[in-house]
Amino acid sequence: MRAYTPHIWTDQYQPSAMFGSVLALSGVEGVELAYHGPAGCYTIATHIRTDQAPMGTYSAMRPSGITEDNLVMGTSMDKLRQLLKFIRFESEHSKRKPTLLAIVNTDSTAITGDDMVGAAKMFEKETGVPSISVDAPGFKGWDTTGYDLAYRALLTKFAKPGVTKKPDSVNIIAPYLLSSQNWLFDFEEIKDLLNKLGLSVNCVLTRNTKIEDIENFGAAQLNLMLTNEDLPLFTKEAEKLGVPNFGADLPLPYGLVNTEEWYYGVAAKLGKSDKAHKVLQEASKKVRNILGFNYSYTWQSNLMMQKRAALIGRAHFIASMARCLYYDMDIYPEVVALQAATKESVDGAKKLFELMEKDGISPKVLVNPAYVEFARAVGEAEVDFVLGSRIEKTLIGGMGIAHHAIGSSYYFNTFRYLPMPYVGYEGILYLLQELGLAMEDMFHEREAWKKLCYKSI
Amino acid sequence: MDEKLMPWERIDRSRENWEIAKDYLIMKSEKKFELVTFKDVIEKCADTSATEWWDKVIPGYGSGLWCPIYYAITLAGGVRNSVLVIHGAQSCVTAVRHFFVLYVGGGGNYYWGNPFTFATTTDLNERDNILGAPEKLKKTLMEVDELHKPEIIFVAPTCGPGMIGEPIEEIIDDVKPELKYAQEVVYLDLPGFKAIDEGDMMRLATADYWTALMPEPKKKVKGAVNVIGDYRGTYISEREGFKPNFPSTYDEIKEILDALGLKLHVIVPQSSLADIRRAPEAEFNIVNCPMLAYPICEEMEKKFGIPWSPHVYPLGREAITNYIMAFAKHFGKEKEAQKYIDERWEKDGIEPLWQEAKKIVKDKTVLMDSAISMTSVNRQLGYARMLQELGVDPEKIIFFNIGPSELLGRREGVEYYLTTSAAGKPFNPKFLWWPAPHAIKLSPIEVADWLGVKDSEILHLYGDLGWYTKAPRWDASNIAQVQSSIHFRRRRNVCQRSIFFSGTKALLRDTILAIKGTKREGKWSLYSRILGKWPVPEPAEIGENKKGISGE
Repeated sequence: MRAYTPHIWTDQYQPSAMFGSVLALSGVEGVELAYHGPAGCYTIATHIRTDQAPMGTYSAMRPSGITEDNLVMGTSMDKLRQLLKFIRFESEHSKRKPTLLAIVNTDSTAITGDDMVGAAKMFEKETGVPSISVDAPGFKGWDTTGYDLAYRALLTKFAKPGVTKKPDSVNIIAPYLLSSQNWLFDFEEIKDLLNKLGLSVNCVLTRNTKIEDIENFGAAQLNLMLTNEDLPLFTKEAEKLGVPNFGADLPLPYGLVNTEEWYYGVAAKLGKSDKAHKVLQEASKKVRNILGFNYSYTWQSNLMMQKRAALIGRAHFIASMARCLYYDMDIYPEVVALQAATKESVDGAKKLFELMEKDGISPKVLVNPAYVEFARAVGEAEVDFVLGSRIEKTLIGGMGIAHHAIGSSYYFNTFRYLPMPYVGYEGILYLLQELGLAMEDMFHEREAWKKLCYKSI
Repeated sequence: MDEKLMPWERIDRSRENWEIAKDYLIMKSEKKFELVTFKDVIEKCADTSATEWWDKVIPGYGSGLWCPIYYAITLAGGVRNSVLVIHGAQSCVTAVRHFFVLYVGGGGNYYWGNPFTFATTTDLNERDNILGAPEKLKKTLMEVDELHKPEIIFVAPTCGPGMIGEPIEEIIDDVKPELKYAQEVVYLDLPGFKAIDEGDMMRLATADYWTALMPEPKKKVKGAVNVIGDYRGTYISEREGFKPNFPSTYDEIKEILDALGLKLHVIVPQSSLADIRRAPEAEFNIVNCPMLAYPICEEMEKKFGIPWSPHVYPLGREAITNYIMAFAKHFGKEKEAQKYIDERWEKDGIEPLWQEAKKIVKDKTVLMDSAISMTSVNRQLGYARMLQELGVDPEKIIFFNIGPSELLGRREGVEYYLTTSAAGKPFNPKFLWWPAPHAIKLSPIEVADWLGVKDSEILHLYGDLGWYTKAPRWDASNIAQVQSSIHFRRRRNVCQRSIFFSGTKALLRDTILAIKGTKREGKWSLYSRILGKWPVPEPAEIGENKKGISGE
């Protein structure tokens, strides 16, 4: 169900269904995307897909290049046909046969109602390359709609019914919906944490996903959801294949308390609780070893404690981060802006706050606020710093309030390359480092330095 | 006598689009390139629009680049205390926000100091996009006015409402009298499908909208000069009362105008509504970005009789002199201007750098690599013109990786350059004909090899450090490389567009360092090792007197 929005209009970071379909399909190894739409949409799509590229595959994507003439004169379909002919030739020319041809569209080519389904079938017939189309233009909804439609398309195309179950195996769903800007490394750590429980990852929708993985989707015992957003089409397909979802009600494993709840929740579901305890014990030793008698840490902790913060981001992620600040860092999350596509995600995030409320704090929760409303709430609350994404940095920075980006997508200038996660016990080290940067931003009086600078330099 | 057919005139239009695209791919693999000149493209395609070019000359690669609504949001977003209402899918705003953050330079940009942009959308769903949602737009305008209290609202449609012809102007007319705060509501008719070439987009985003906000002036301000056309670094720091990390172009222009006893009046389009309204009080307009400025200057001349100068990219002594003299002459300040130029050239220590650079660029072949989105042809032409003035043989200035459509899309700027000269020779650089760089870029390696130029003879001005920077062949350690992208070429105390005196000095300094830096051969940078080979040296190869890895 669509999430509450305070107005009939919005002003927030809200990736669309088209973003979702492109990002999801770009996670399939060997995919070729036929992008049916005009220049602007294609430009952002080429950027979006790069989130999958580091340590993954760089998907091929070509545009049909729709113009005003095509839309007015009804010739957009011909552009798609020409594109597919060229893709076919180019594939032969470069001797690189795609594992999958996926046609995606945009607002304009969805309105014209171009026959993508027929085009995909024709391409498959002529080339033997498995082909699908995903009708997920921007106006269909948030990115979750795009993921949902793409997952359904992949499962209905490839997943085999009645495959033999693989013991102790899980599928992982929607790693990008972790919505941390460090999601690539967070995801790697999550896989590692599962492996340490003796679990194997059967299929990921989608990240470095092979067609065979999707074919064997039904072999997993469970789908581990890395999001609490509702994905109804996917869920229906997964149920048909006999793989139930779980994990959406757990906090995401950011910080110590969240990690404990998440890890034990996952382990209990698969009968691995004892192992989980041992893994966390080991990890705790490493963290203690690094932070124990570390005066940088004690200093930073003192800087952070009892500070008041505001947070903004995707609901599941930012609610988990608010808990991490409160429980692990003794920072008070005063204002939390939840951005969510579905009611399920908002409700899930609010549920995560319930225990916090029992434990002494009731943050002001805004659901899908306009940026001006969030900014006013931040100003009124007199918070010391804001955690969010790079999108609203100039807004908060412009108000003279420290801001640090931790959320949103990876691509485009996150400048984070160390293969360290935010998640898990060990991830607390990286989160501390991030918070250290926020503290620097908060405490450094740069304007005063400039004004009072020694004159004779 | 038969006139030689240009490469684009030889395209067999009886073939299907994909076959023409195929021909290009084969042409590239067989290295059947040829050189034309900028003049060839501009003069022989006088009646061809950039969009036509995309469709008819490079079918199969016809994506275009960027989006008109990006330009609507980018330009309008920097107007102070404005709110945007995008009528359509939220998707488009989110897309622009990605580029705002660092890259584009509109509202909320990290690098260029623009304030955060409130870009609301009516967030139309599938049904609304097909059947229209005028009531949603009306209600949104009312609520946004009440909540944000803006000075001005800009309304722009995305593709859906643009396609179905939503009556946006009528809705604005209906609502406008009821708004409490917004003094103006501007309709920017720039849905995504409207243009596919960036030059066309800029033209669309500037036409009429800005002069429509300007009333007839009640007075003229003596010696007042406006600077027209930019969306990056649109502040005059002294006036705003802060010290930026990097001065804006306006900061440097203000210094020049002050020295001549003139006054920087306002900047358009990205300033406050009050400033835009005051613009017709000026006596002269000068230009920052040609594409964003020329249409506004032409309209202001027509409406208010304000003369203007088309000069852009003042880099090098000749271009700086031409730029400054254009307005100095108007105000009868030529002598003061010449004195100022001479003094500044001396004071900034440019001459010694000029002489040093002159010696080392003399025999270079300059590869002007646009690398598409990260730079623009007009900026690159500014750099090339200075290099020609510096003594590079015009026959050895080779542009590549600029879509031919970009020349047509930015025709006005290119035409301006073709009227100029440098070092006593007309300015008309060569252009390597490869029609589809937006889809498949040429590597400078294949260009250099095709030209038969030795690595040591190359000066490579690149826009984006692409996939071709590969050890051991192509790296800053063995090829002189100078960054020419506006985003990355920011230097301490150098103005935002890297032009005028500070930009000239910086380009000279960068060129000298890049050429000297080729002495590092064998010590490959991380970047080229990542993209190319990573030859780990043997211990014996490392040492003070060793050259290092010899390459392969």
